[in-house]
Amino acid sequence: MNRTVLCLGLLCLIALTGCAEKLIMVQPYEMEHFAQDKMRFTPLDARAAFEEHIYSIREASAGGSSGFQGGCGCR
Amino acid sequence: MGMGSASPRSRVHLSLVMFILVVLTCTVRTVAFAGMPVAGQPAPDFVLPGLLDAQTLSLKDLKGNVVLLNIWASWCTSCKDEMEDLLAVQEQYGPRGFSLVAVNIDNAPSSAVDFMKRFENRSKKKPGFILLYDRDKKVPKDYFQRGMPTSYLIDREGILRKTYPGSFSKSTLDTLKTAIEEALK
Amino acid sequence: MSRKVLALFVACMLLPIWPVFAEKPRDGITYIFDLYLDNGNNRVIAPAVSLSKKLSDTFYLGTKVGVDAITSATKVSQPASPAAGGEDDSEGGNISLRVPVSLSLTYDRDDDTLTAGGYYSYERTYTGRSLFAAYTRRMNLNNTALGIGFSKSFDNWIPDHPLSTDRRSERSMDLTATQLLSPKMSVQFTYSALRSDGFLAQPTDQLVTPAFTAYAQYPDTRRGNAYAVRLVTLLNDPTSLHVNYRDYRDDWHIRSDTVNLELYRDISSSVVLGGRYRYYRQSKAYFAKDLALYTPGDPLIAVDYRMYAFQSNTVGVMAILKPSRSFLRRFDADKVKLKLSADVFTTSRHENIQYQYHTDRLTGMFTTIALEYDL
Repeated sequence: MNRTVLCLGLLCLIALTGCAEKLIMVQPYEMEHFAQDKMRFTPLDARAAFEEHIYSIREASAGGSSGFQGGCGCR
Repeated sequence: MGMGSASPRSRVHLSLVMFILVVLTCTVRTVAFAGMPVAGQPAPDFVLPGLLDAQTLSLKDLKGNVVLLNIWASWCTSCKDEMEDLLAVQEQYGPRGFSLVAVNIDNAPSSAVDFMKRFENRSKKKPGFILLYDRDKKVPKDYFQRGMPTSYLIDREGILRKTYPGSFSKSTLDTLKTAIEEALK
Repeated sequence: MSRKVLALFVACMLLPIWPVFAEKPRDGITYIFDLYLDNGNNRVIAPAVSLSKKLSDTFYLGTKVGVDAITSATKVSQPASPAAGGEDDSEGGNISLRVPVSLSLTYDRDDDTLTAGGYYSYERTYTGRSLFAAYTRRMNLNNTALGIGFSKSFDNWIPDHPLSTDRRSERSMDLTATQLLSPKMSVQFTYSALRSDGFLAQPTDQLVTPAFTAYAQYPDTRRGNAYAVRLVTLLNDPTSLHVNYRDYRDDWHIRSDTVNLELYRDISSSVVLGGRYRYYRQSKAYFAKDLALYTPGDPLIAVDYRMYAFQSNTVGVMAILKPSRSFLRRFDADKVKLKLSADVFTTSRHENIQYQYHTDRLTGMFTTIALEYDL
């Protein structure tokens, strides 16, 4: 397991080192769709927070959610 | 049910190390693209129709004016937020030979038109700047736009003076005004 | 007797409560009204207000204050063997308040966002306190984002009978990588490491058999890992599809799979409608066994069905409304959004659900209403 994680991580690292520019798959002026609520990772923040609470008291699992929601990156 | 050979603690440490390495790796700044317009060279020309009317305009038509080319979209909140500041800049420097050219790049112009109408109603005056529409996103491609929004200051000779990626804050707005003053001299 | 059940709404593990912004953080206020009902006679009404305020070009303050009004029927203690008589101490209709408050400070500049804050909640049977911090770095012209978040809680039970410890603390670390794949598709990977210490069972869970009565007792540490992937894609201009998968496993040998599918569609320029389906299944904890098989000598006892193997299904509908100007003249239409959701979930049948709630499966509904307004 340890070795698998390490190998996967190293592969990612090599990919990112050599190909950072290749990770620019969407230009800033092409991000119109990502500005829409329906393209965010959780389009309804309030539901995401509440259901996480509900599932944590109804099921025995947790984790795996992220605060980062994507978006158009307009800054 | 086995948890694998790695202890959870070592897995957490490993993940943390990997994360830091990836951040450091990805922090390497990317190089400039060939053909990217740079300060001191002629700004790429364009011919575009108006956002609110069909009248076309080119950058060449504005030769003799100091131009602030602003690329914006109605889906970009920061772009809309800075519109009021840009209108004030236009009002301040317009009489001295300054033109703000706002190029909209929405996939469909309707929401940009709606926004401009609301903007007019709110500010209770017609925007005194030039509004163009670029359906094919030719201007952002030619200018290698690196952020939304981005503004380009072009002098009276059509030479690119400065690029402003991102929306203007109070401090960068002051820098812009200083640069406009300089270009108007 | 109400003290027994209110701990129901103590979360199992820390919830991610930090905000991370893809656009610049904004001044805004959100009014939230959440409702939860289930056939175990539990009801939660939870209004909240969340406020975000710009302090300077780079600093933002965020706060969220709420009240959860919890109405819950008292869980029933009954013998594991139906042949023997037992005490039925159900009462029903107890109301209690839980007051959660969170405060955070965000530093946002260029490609970096750093948020740190704290969370406090109080209810009659439990006090929750936690600190959290998260850092996100955007790179490759916002095509890639890497995030790391930590949180630690220092909670205390306020039990009505002695526990091995009143303390309960939880730690979590989340690593997130987000990548845009095309102008219509993005993917996010998350790894979470979770650790809990202290008294981890519900103090109210009690096993009553003809031979003996005992409170639930779990191991005093739990380490879990979750791996999740989320994909969002635009099927066509008005329609987006969300596909989420999570794999969770811990050292209590609970392992679970969660699949979530959501579809959103623009109905008009001011209405987006959506539908969702979620499937969840888990295996049992190593110390969980048939209630009739426990003996007084068992050091670990589970009563809660969540320590056993079961499945659940959820279906839901969502709506995002952006009022038009003619509809809402007093407000700038660009700045108002109303988000609504209603979901129904049901678990598979389980004898422990029957034991705890007098029903063979739990079925519940939760709805949320959120009115967002940019200041």
